[in-house]
Amino acid sequence: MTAIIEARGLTKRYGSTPVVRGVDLNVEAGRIVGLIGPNGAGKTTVIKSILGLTSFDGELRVLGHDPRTQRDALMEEVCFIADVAVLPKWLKVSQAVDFVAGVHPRFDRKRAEDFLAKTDIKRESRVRQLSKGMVTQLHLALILAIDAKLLVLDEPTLGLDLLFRRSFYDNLLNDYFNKERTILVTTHQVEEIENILTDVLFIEHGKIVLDSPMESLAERFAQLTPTPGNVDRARALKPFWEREIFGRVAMLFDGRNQDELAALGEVRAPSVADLFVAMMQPIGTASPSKEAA
Amino acid sequence: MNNLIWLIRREVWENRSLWIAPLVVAGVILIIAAFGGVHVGRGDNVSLGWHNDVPEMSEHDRENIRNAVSAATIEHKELIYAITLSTFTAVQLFTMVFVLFFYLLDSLLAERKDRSILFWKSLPVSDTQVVLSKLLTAAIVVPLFVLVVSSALQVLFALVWSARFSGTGLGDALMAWHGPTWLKLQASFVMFLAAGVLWYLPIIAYLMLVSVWARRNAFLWAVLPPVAILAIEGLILQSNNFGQFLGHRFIGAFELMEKNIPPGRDDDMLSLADVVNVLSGVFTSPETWIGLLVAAAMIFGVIRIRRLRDDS
Repeated sequence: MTAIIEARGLTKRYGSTPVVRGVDLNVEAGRIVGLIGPNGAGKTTVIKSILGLTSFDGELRVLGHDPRTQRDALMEEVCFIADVAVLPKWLKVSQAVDFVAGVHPRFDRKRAEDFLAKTDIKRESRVRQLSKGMVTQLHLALILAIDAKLLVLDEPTLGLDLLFRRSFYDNLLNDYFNKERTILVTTHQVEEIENILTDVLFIEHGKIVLDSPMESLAERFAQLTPTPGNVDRARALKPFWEREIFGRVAMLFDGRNQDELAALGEVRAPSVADLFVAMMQPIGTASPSKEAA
Repeated sequence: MNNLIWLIRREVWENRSLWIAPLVVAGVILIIAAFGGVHVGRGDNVSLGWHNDVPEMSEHDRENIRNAVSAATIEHKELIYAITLSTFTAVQLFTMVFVLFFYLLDSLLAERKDRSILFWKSLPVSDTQVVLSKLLTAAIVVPLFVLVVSSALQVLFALVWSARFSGTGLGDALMAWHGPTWLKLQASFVMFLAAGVLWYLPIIAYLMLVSVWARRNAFLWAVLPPVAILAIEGLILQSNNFGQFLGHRFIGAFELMEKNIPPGRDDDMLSLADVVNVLSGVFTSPETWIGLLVAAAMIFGVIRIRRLRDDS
């Protein structure tokens, strides 16, 4: 498989503060990769490096181009939505379509028009007259009509209500995604995208702490709710995280035999959101309720 | 090239004042010409005003004007025609300088203020193309548009004026149409603008540099550093070299032109050859070309900074 994004030791500092510390990445074609991390973990900096929007150290190839020096060529094959509110306020809907059609060799005008026809967006409106959800629809209509190999979405649904968020990802999957395309997405709302992802990347303090295809997550990680008498025996198996809800303890294990765990209680595959919380808050730093107990 | 045209179109969409301002100025001038008051002073001084408060001209005044007009040579009439029409182009150019000043200061700041730069940067247009499109808009597209509007304004004004005052002497004083003079004027203005743009390109580039650099208050960033240098030089060195340098950048083109105005020709129209000769003072001055090199270096800097500008 061809690598769409390849990073070795990607590093970025602002002044003397490192924000990204030696990130290695390998994203292959046809994947939907979620880059997930808390605020300030370096998500946006990694994304900006990939898009050639910032300088960095280390090696990075995106579709074979170096984003630092070959950004112009890169932008013919990559498109991105960096933030929902970035369409300029003065731009008319018709001008937006005309402009992208004018400058982008891979833009399919009819696709964009068809998409817009399904919305309430009027051609003569300016962006400032549209609701936040409509601006996102417009942006999506423009971006989805571009035949790009890599689509990068940085918090694309921030500030939108649930209905728009849901249809945003539905459109993305139904109208856009196929085997030749690759999507890299960051978001706070992990639970909304976890069922569309093929791969997850967790980033914390500028480092990748988890890089895994979705299907192997369930093999590697397990969540155990031990029966009351088995809690101490379960603890002896060294869960990397545990929490107490309604008097019952939930533990997460990494690389334990699932049959061994099943003997102690109820085992299920953890959700990405659970894993995320657990890995960002390992034992010892967890919630105060546990200290009290 | 295709991208540049779309980017320039984008500038026109975003900055409507660029084309509305000259049209408004032209409209106001035409309204004054059609309905405004006319002041006839001593001798053959005539001026336009807002208020239609001029009493009917006495027969004596009319007689005076008629005599003056009939005594005027055709060359004299051409000169009046040329000077009157040039005034309107001068008004338009003055407005243009004002509009362009603010356009340039905002040209690379606005897209960062509203974060729309992230949208523009998601499209396959290079930073070089974006910066050049703004430079071309300010240095060529807007000046040419203003010139076209001014040329039309000149024609319309002369027609309105002649129709309104035909038979009163005022109408005859200004020719309704004199093709050769009009064409000569337009050719002169094109050359004059070309010289002006070349001379002022460093200032255009400087304003763009401030615009791409500043995070806010581009106006202050553009004005304060020169003022600070002036003040510091004055206080510490007790001299004004920087002030002279700046002053020369602002009016030097006119000084260079003045040198070549043929002596003793105050009452005649300059021939096209004279105009070329006058402007050649600008085109051949090393200062102009050094200025262009400085402008090119600054534009290069603008492109680099926009490329790597990282505001978040």
